[in-house]
Amino acid sequence: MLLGLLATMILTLYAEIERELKSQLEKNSIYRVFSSEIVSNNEAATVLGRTHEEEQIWKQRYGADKVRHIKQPLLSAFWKNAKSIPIIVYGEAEPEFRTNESLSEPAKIWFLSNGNLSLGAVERIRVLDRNTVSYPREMPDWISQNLSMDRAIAIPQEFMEVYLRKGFVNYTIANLSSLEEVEDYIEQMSAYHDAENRKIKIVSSLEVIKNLEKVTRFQQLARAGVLIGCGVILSCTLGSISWLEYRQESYLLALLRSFGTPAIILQLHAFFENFLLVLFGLVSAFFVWRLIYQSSDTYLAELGFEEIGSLGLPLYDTGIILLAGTIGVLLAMIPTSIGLRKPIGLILQ
Amino acid sequence: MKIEIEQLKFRYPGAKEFVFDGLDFSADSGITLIKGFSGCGKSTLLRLAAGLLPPASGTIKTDSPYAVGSPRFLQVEVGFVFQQINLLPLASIERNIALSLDMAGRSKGDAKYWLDLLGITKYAKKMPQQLSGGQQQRASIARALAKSPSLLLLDEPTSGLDDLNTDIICKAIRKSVSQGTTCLVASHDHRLDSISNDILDFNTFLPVEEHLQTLV
Repeated sequence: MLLGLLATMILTLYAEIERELKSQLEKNSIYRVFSSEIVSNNEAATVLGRTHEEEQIWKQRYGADKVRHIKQPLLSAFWKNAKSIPIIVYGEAEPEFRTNESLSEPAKIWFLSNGNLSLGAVERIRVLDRNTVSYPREMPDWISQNLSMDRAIAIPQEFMEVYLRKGFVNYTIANLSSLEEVEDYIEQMSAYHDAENRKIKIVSSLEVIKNLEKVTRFQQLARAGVLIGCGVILSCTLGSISWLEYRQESYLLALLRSFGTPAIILQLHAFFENFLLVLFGLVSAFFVWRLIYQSSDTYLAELGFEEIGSLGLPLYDTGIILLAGTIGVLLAMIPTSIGLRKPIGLILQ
Repeated sequence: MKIEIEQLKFRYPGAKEFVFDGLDFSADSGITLIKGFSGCGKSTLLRLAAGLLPPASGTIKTDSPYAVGSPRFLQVEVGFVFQQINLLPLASIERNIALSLDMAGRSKGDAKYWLDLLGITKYAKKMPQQLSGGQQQRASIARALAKSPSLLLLDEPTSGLDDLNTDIICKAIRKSVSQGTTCLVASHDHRLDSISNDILDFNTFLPVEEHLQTLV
């Protein structure tokens, strides 16, 4: 029982770490990569000239729906009595904001919010010295999560070219599909910007994912280690009991041998005795686990533990348990085996 | 059964000196009394003859088809009465004897005769610890005799017993030997001299230990 509790504590610790990491991943969105680049006024013109081409490269390589680009100029808009609202600039490649049905129709200026403002059909804003109207709509999640904004003005790039040349922050948000894609994207992004001698900051869940994989791997080893460790402890315990029992019963065993009982019969007796003890222990463990699980509400379920039936264990764990039990039983027979080699005449007087 | 011991050498584990250093001995049907001072090897010889101890060298041969000391030899051929009785403590007298008979492949009905001869029929269902020393001794002998062994080995069978018990035991031994059993009895008891056909006296050829000599 104590061994089982200790094993449960160790496995629960690993499961808790795994759960925490998964929780972090879910918050950060597991395969999302966020990169930001501060472009000074010296470089702005050059970078602006290349951003369209760059955006096409990343969208072609990873999918137009997976990679989004926005820029944030170094100025804000104003709304209602000088309330400052950040501006984000969207390019041609962001169809989410481009609702104009024809090229002759200008793209709109959007008032993005998380719905906690009381807004009309249009809202008047002021950008630098110019008043204009903006159209309220809900802030997309990928903007609010990555830029931590609850409101912003989204302006098409063609309206903001002049201001962007004074400097801006260039954001790229990629929602990829696999760990391999994330690793490749980060590698390509870093290499591209290094070659351009541009500094970029990349934030991803890659480290968390790698830590999670490490924890999962160690968990497998820990489970095997715990099971084998329990097997060794059990075998030492059974062996000690067996040895003490032998010392107590060596006289009885010698007497039975003096009647002509073959040593193999006594050996088999010891084997079946230990086997039944281990079997009883394992069966009891199933029922005890069920009781523990049922009394722990949903906590253990959240950690990924399951209530098991008599045949519900994964094959790997079942195999380890049976192997550990068998090794324990065999090791526990060693004292009896050694004792049975002792001549009867040295024990019986 | 004839038993022949040739050039037997034996010493206990860790001992420097041999208990037997080239012993030659043989015995046939009848009672051979083995005598000698304490510690000279009387009990050891009995245990070697049964195969309960392995000799360092030398041979122990019998005309049994089973090897000396093998489980089958012990089951069928040997009846051993230990100095310390050695009844199974958690079995009744009846069960002790029945186990010995089962191992030898004999009928349990054979037990009754020996229980009657040794006067312990009414104690058959009792546990060993409920009997006196003399009664336990007789029960141990009954267990050995019940399976009609070819080789009967008795280690101090009358030690501490009164004349009545000794007479009963002697009678039982004689009865067993009359059926062709080879009997080796290790004992100091002079009351057994009268029933023995042959005597092996270790005093005649083994040196008495020095510390005992100084006490004489």
